[in-house]
Amino acid sequence: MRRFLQNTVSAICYEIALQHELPRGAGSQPSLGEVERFVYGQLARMPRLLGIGVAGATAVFGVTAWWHGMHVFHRQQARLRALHWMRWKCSSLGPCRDLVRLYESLVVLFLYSSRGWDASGDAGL
Amino acid sequence: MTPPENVRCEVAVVGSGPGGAVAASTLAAHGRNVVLLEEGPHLSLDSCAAFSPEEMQQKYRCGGLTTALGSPKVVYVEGRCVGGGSEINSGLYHRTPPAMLDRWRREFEVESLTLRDLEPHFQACEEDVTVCLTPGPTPLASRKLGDGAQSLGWRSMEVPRCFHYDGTIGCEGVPQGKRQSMSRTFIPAALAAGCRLAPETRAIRLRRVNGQWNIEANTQGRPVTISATDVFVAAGAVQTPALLRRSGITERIGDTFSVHPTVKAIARFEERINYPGLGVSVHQVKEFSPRISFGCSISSPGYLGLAMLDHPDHRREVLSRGHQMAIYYAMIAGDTQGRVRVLPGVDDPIVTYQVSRQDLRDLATGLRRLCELLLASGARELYPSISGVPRLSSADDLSLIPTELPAGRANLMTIHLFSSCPMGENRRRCAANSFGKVHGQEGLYISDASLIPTAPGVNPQGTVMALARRNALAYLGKL
Repeated sequence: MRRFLQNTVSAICYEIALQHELPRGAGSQPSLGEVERFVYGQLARMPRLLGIGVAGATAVFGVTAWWHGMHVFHRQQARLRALHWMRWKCSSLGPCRDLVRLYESLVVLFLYSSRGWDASGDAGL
Repeated sequence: MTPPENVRCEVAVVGSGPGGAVAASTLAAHGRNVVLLEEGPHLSLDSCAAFSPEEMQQKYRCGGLTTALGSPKVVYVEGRCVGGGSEINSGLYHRTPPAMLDRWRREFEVESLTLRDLEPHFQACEEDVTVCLTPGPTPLASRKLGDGAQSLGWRSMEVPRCFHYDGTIGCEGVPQGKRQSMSRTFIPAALAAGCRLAPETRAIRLRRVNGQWNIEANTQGRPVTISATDVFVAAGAVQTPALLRRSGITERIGDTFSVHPTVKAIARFEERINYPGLGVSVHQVKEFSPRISFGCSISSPGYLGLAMLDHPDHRREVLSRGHQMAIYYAMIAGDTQGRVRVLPGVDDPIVTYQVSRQDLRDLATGLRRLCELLLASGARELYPSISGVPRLSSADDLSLIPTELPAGRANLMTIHLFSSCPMGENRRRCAANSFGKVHGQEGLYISDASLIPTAPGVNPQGTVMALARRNALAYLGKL
């Protein structure tokens, strides 16, 4: 289960990083590993009950991808992953949108903060 | 200090934020034998970049992932390090509005709480944390608020900060320096006066044994007991009621938790307003205060990216025009009362806060007026942090903001938490008396934002410090 969750979280980080692919410019692009470490670290710091809820919702997210591609989320093709992600993002169910928002917030904050500003002062993004 | 298995002291202060640090410093300076407990680590202000992901990891409780449950949820943050919230906030400083003091005296029957009563405490604390205005130009992103307010005939002000300007100059000629957090001011003063600091020590519960308070705590995985004649609980508006409730003290504890719900909008201007080290903006618009206030938020690339999550079609704007963008906020003094509760075997308290429909309407009004203000200050495009509300670029577009924020699409946050254990002589409403002593308990005091009876409508640190000093002096019989 733990391994499955790790794989799902990694795939989620990859999916978000892909959507927010930042143009190469000044500064260093963080690696996916760095993004994942930040996200795992933050999930571990969450209040315990909330963390259990997020882990459960992440597992449901990973498993329900099966209905649309006969694979769990982290084993799906990129196109199907993106579709599953968007289904949850635009879901009428608040908890689905909240889960997407949580992961997006963590990845985007880390990605954009890591890029910072370039020497000329423009956002080096 | 790493506490041994058993520690004895005259006064134990639990929590080292503005309330705890001022109380510990005042008590130690008057010769009391004080131990100051802090759950988080003892880090310098420079241990990481301000407002960075590293800071969230090091100094925020739960990495900043704390939420008051309700519809909509309200995301909040708390400091968890020596110095508490003062280590992670902007250091903006307000005295308590006189109308609030009047209200608290009238409704909560708080004694000795006129502006005249608090004046010496405000003054003393302001000297200690060097409250001052910027001695030079302020950032353009900040001045935009003043410009917009001027053109609309609204009242705005530069807010002083707890800050020491060191003579260096940054971008736009803005003077630089260091925020005067508790770890740079009252904590060193307390230590110099003989206070013992125990970081990474979590108070689990309080027990009254033979006329003494025993604090059952945990330090680096090891249980310790701190015995004290008197205890000041200063763990903040969430952790203070949680600790008291875990200790079986529940009367009016954690029943009236309040916040300043805040909604944000990104503004893009034609000219450059953002740059590395922009830091904290100091202008606030107070035309509709205390109910609604406007200000400028931290606008680093990370936070800009985050704020644009509600506008996925325009996120590239941050990439190409981040230097023309800043994040602004509308903050309301909420009229809702939330709850702080604990569950057996669970460390983190459950915080609930149901934003009222009136608050949702006020937030919508605040957001509309904020957008009006930003357009008047020259903003070309606005991106409100409400899912489904499009980019706005003219006064006509303001009608696209709903008259009541939709609970399911509003992304609310707050950094101001208070009122969970209000003070006053009205025992039907108050957990503690006019000077912070918990009703019905001997030798047990509260010294943090929990005591503030209602949402003050301004940054609460000034109120917290002044009350902590006043109440510590009252305890010492020196008032």
